[in-house]
Amino acid sequence: MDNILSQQAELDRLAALRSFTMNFGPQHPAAHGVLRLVLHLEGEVVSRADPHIGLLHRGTEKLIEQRNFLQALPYFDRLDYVSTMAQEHAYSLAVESLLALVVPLRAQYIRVLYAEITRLLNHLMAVTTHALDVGALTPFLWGFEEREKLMEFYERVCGARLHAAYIRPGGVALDLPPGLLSDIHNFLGQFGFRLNEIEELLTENRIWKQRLVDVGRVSARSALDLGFSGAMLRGSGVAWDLRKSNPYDVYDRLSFAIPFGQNGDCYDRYLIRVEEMRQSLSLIQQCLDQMPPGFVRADDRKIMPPSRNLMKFSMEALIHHFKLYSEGWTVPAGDTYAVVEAPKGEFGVYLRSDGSARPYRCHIKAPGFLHLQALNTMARGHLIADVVTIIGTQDIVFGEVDR
Amino acid sequence: MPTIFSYGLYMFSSYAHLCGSALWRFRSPFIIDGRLLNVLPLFILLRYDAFLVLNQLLDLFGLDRPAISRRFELIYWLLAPKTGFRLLVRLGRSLADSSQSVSALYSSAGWLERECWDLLGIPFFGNADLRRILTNYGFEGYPLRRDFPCGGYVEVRYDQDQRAVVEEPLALSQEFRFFDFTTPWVSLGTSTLKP
Repeated sequence: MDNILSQQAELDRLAALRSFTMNFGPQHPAAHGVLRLVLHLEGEVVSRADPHIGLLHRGTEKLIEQRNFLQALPYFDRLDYVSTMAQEHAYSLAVESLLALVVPLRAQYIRVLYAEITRLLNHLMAVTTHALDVGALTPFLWGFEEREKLMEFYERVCGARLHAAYIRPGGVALDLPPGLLSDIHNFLGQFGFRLNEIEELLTENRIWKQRLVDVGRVSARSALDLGFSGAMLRGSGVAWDLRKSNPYDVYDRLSFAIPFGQNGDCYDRYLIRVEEMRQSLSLIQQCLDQMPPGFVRADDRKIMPPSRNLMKFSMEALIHHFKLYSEGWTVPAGDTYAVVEAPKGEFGVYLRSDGSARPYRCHIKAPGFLHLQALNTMARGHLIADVVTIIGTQDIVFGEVDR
Repeated sequence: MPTIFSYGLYMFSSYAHLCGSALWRFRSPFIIDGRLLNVLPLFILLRYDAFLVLNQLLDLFGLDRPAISRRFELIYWLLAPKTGFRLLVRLGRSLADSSQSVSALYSSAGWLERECWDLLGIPFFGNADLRRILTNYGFEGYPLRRDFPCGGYVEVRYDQDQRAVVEEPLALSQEFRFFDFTTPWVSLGTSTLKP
């Protein structure tokens, strides 16, 4: 009798344990940063996932209100720190649309060239750390060797590996150094093979497919409803790409394809990211082939600083330099919303100017914010281990989610 | 294939009267401006219009203009991926006005409204989960309001003796420095592009 009673007590205890709450993070290697995820579990099955974000909130939008239009630019590097130039690009486009600035063609090509290098940087990070979360270490090591080479291209053009501050309103900061384009060409020649090697390890890998196929399925309808963009939206079968539908800079002069998925699961999104890397290679090659000569900054002395050389001879240039780097330039009153196809999705910048030298309001639309919101929808009914897969496939970086 | 302009024209002729004025400038999005209090009817129309199909709400945020009686402006950023048509809806709000949540129409609105509530203190009725989102647990005040100081009011540190994180009033060793270089002269600082 005692035995039966104690067995019953044990069963009751287990039943009470069946449904419980678990903290995932804030310091968890698979959380891709500081994410506190409160998981409500039924045994091993997730019944609700509640992400607590904001642990990396730095008040970027508030800070930008205190800076002038040029000083605000480097804050954009610090949002999504693996696709820095894409965000500078969005901010520059926003400022240019308020100023009605015309950017020289060479600068536009350089911007697209670096936007695509940025896409490679981001997708290498996204795919290989996703593989790392799921349990494959090797692609990570190989991918990061390639990222190092790409960051060298960053460094050669602006002096910084990550926080570039290279794409600026009105063009780019500096012209390309000699020899850079041929080195990028050499890089392209071998990168396709590195991509093949990474794909050999993953694409047909049994474990990789078991962990990804049919995990985190999102239908096209709900992807639209949840505000998805980028690879997350294309994975669900919506062929939407801002570079095609709303071409900025020289994207309308280049030819490329938009890969999109059918099933809307993590595996489709992985395949899309790999194919986007191949498309980026082709885009970079086209930029190299078509790179025109010319200036890299807009021709407006009230906005673009004079050259160092000119400042030694021209009093006007010296005065302009002083004014541009103390007061900055004023921007006509008005508002604008500029969007770019950042590697993670649609990155938007809303700018409101009151006619002074500082933005009155700068709102940053990060794609990851809306993707992370959908984590609950995507993870419900899956196992705990799949939560890691889903965070990986969303390609979350907390710099941009928390701002 | 109808052009973006025809969508804009259609939208302006069908919906602008519902909310106020509509405007479009070169190289800027289509904008409708409004002083509407209940936004739900407008958004139901925009979302389910068979021609526009604005079925993505990609952004929702606010800004603060303390000098004006309708001090807040709520901005909705809508997209129709089918056609590429985009629309910016701007709505004025005073401190006392209530806002209807659009989270029943667009699932993406949930967190966007939470962020708006957290940073500007605009409540949304009908949002089931209006907790703070970006600021710290137990945070007080609305940081994106213009009267909130850039440095905030409190600082947080780990106290070795109490073995806990403690919150203290802000004590900066150096005042926050805000240099205003704006000149009273308009000859140089002003761009030639300005009228």
